[in-house]
Amino acid sequence: MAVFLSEIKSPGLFLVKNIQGSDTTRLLEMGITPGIKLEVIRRAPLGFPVEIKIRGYLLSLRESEAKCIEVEE
Amino acid sequence: MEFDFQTGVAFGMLAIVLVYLTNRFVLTPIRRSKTSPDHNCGPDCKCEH
Amino acid sequence: MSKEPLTIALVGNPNTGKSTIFNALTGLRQKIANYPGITVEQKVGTSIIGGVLHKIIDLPGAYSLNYKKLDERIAYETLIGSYEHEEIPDLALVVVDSSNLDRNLYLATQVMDLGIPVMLILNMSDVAKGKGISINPDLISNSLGVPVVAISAKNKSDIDQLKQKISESDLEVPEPLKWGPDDSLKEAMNLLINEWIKPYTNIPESARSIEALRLISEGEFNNAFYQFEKEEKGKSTIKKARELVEKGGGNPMATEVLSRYNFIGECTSNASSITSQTKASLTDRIDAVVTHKVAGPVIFTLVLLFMFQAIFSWATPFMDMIDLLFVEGGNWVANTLPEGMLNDLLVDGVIAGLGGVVIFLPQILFLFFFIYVLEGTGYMARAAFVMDGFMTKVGLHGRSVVPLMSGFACAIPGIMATRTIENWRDRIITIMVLPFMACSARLPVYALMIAAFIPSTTILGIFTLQGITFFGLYIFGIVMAVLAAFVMKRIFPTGQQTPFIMELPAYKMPKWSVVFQNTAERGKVFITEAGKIIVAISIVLWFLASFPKTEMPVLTQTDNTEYNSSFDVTENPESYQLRHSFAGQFGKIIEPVIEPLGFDWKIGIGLITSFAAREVMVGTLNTIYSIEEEDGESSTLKEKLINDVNPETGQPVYSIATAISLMIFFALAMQCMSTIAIVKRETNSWKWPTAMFVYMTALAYLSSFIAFQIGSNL
Ligand SMILES: Nc1nc2c(ncn2[C@@H]2O[C@H](COP(=O)(O)OP(=O)(O)O)[C@@H](O)[C@H]2O)c(=O)[nH]1
Repeated sequence: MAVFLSEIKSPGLFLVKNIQGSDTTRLLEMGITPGIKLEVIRRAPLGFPVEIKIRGYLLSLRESEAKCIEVEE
Repeated sequence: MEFDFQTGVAFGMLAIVLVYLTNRFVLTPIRRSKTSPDHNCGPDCKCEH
Repeated sequence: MSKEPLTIALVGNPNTGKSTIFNALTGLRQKIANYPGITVEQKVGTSIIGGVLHKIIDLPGAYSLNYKKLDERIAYETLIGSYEHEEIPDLALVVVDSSNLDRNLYLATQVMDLGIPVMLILNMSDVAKGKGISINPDLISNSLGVPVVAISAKNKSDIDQLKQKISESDLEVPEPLKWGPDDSLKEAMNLLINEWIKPYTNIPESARSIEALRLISEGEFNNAFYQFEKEEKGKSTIKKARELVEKGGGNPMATEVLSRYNFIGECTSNASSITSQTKASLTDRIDAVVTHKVAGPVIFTLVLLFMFQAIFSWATPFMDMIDLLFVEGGNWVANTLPEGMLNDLLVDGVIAGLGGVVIFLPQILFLFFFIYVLEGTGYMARAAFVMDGFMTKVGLHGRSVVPLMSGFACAIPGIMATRTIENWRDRIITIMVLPFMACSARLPVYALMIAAFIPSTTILGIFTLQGITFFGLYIFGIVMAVLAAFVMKRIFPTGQQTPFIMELPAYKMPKWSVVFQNTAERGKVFITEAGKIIVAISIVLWFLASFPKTEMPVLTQTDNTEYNSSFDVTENPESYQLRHSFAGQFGKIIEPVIEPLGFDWKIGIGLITSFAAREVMVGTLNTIYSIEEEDGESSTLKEKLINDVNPETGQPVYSIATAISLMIFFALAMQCMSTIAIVKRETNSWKWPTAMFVYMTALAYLSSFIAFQIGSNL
């Protein structure tokens, strides 16, 4: 079942399904492409940003970006 | 106040310093503002999305 | 193989080791300049490779040529030769982080489309190896079609290998569009190039396909940096091109990126392999603690507290030494040189003024040392991650943390560093509140006031009341910045949440030579830039304080009754001279305005001169007090302040209330010409610096007024 990254509360491994939204170029350019593995590491003190591991490196995303990323377990 | 060698040097230094400060804080800013920076990124520059 | 001198550009993602390679190649043959009209630093140097002197340019870090921020645009523009003073590079060295190959190669495939020779540097080989990643450079080279060299920039012999490879380079231009755009994207590019880019813009031929791709992805041209005609035609052609892509089943925003990543995947899947590790890496283990929900903010606060306590206490012995040196030096000159005006000017103007500057060098060096260490280790990004939630609440941005922290050193680099904030509104709010951060120029004033008027009681064993006051002043600045940002967030229309995509680089031991070099550079800039102005102003001040020459009326017992109020029996001739000098008269004029804040005319002079730079205040007081002092032994400024008495009342001039009021005034007032100048340059209008000056100074006056009135009535 596909959910948005913004809704994931606990760490875990996911598969990127789709990137949607009005300004997604930079997310794609950073390597968040459909079919790639994405690991949710943790959330910052007030819930966002969320820290993920993608293609072997760590990235921090705000809620607005996390909402653009559809993932699947 | 008598005008001796030391007084001369002291006033010479003052003159140099005044020229330096005018150049630094008056002339250079004026010159800079004239050559308008065309690569400047301000509110109207949309390179910030 | 080339024997011609070349222009070689280093390009790559941030934190891949470009600067390290640049330094290794150029050694000391480098200079830092600014790009015309903007304040981004450009590093250019020369290097002898294979007996030929080449020019090396270090470009700002970029993730993509489809720029989203100024740094990236500069890298792009330099590569396509759009700057008049800089020709198109003859060779682009794309520096990539081997431990993070895929994302790094994205930029590499873009640079390969620019029609210039490319060489790929797989840097950080040692790091990749440690992560269990092994890469075959030859296979990468084959599939990309560019020469590849794997190095570790920290290793001297690897740099020699790199040089060797450069001198052997045949400077072949890589095959364009090797990543293989699909037919509809190709068609769309050709349409855009032929119908608009080629006839109506001055984009260099080699850069046309990259620009076409950029426009198709963006869908609009936002104030393009190049010249163009027929804007309407441009817009409609971009629209047509995007429609072509959509007809082919692609998404104009994604097609190019996905094709490139497919191509990269093919290249790396057979050329690199990873022996998977199960145990958490060091970075993961550290992050589990420092980015923890509760521990993270606590650690961040402790880091700051430790930093400022250390700056204050570790620097003290050095400062005392410097102080002593200048006092002794002054005495020596005073006694060696024949008496006269030059003697006075040197001792009371130049040496006293200079001493007032140099004394703060230790603190500045410590501060920048810490900042560069935090940056070099990768902790700064964690601080931004941990703080972003809090920062967005008050209208700032996680990325504001680093500029704001740089603001502790100096508002100017901090304001320049706001360029990493992509959203204009976030950026302007950060700029507007940044000068509240206690910059190092305030240190002198804080340090002097604290040393003179706050007792050094020890608290909790390791902290002193002085250290805590010092820390408190920094916190005060932060709180004011937050409040101001909160108010501004209400004033400026709220946009939607802005993108915040930030890499958290792996922790590294900072390269100490770079840390020391950068720290020394800051110190040098402080001494030469601030120092020049301060000494100049000290000289002017000395003249203002020494003229017009007035003789104190000679005292006799008989005409004791005839003295007017401006003359006091206990006053010495120097003080009398100062009060009647130009400076004294001017200070007297503004005295009524600043009196409610607890300031006298001497501080008034200091406030005026400190507009040149805040630390000038101390130099000014130094000058005023050394002039005022009776001939004989010099004592330190601190002692003079404590002992200064008002000749009319006999009370000490400085009460604790005055000291606190003055520190608050310095914490809040916009007293720095350079900051105003830089804000003007960064925002390209006088509106923002004017607003900044007015609101900060008003706030300072009000706060000091309240503080002094409360303090002196307690
Ligand atoms: N282990 C290792 N560290 C490196 C290497 N190259 C650079 N570094 C470190 O990586 C960090 C970032 O390097 P820097 O040159 O500032 O990167 P830039 O942002 O691309 O200019 C510094 O701490 C360097 O010391 C390398 O080959 N191996």
